[in-house]
Amino acid sequence: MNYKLALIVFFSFVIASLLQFLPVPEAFNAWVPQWIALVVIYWALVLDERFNFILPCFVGLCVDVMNGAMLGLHALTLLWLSFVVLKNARQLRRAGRIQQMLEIGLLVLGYQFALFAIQGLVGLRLDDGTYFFASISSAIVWPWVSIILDDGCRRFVGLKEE
Amino acid sequence: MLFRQATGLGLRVFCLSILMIALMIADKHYKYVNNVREVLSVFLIPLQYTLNAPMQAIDWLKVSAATQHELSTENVHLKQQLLLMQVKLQQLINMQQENSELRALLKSSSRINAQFQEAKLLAMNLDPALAEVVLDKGAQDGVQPEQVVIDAAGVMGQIIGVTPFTSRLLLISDPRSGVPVQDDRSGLQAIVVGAGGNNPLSLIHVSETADIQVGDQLVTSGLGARYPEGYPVGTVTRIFKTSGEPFLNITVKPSALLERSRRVLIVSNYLDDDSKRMLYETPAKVAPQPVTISGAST
Repeated sequence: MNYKLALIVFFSFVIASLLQFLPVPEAFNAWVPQWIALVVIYWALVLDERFNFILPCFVGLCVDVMNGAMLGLHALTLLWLSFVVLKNARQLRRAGRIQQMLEIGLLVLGYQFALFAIQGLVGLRLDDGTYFFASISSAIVWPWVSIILDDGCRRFVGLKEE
Repeated sequence: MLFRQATGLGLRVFCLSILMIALMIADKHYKYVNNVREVLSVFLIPLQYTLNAPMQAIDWLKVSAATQHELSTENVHLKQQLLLMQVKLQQLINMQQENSELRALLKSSSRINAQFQEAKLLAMNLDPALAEVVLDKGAQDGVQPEQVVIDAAGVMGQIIGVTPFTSRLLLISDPRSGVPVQDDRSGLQAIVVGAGGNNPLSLIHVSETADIQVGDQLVTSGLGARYPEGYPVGTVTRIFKTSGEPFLNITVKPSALLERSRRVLIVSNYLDDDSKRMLYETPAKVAPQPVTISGAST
């Protein structure tokens, strides 16, 4: 069961990064949801106590290498994101669908703001407001992400949920 | 019990945060962190090629779905272009000969013919704050860091990282990039730096009295020995002065299609041995040569 879980976590991140880096027309660029952040949020919610902080760090490092960003930038922000999610896991799980979407949107916004702030500190800033559109689209796709991953978990791992 | 677990959580996150921040600082200041980056990027190569697959499929569809009529008209068009280019090339060969003779008279080092290697961009949606792209040629194909990349219209940037099968290209629109250029019309020398994203480039440290106009073509000056001499970089689109600042604000539109080019050329081996020795050896090691002034006056 454990290796099955590891496998599904691995593949969820592979698919998330494919979606994240898939080339899209310039106009939609700002609207690409933060797929990787959403999957990190999902696993933090589902695994709860079994969630290991090495996971967001490793995923973040891979994102940094892909992006050519400072090594550790996404790792740090994803780590903070999963920490906030774990701290508020109970409320997040209990919230209704719309409420949950709003909260996820806010979390992604915070994640992007952290990215933006750190990049700004080192002098790589991007001064257009479109940078934050992704949190809206992330909130919109969140229900589908959670439903698909729930389904995957039930089928392949038999993971029980609350 | 809940409290205890929560403190453990915070402590772990704190320790890992410190580690990541240390990594970020190390990445900014020490070169050896690049090894970590290269090891990790080898594992990401399959991902990069998978991402490119849809684009390749579209390209393949375009070719296979084209009608014979389209192909034959394109063929005729290409043949016409080829003829034109060949005629131009004849003139160019003549001029090159003349140029090298003149350079020999002036006793300056001759320019060696650059060698080109074709590469394609791997389609990927990267962080818009960083103007970087990934090419499908890597160390296996002889690509090295610091090589310059151009497209049909002008300079695109330089290679900053190499893995066995891919390489990373820093575009001239990145804030970290600087290209030494000269004005084609007046010979004025300056540096073009990027501003990130889709923002226009800017020409820095040009004083108010400098001879520069809107529409001037900027080409690489060859100073700094990174970018080969004489390739177009951009055109001046706007010049304005902010009162109280010593330099002009000049925006430059890049010649290369930074966002759209998919086929690019990697320039290699453009310096001959003489110039390399002159550039990389300390002056003390270079044997003193007799200075002749007569050469310049001819």
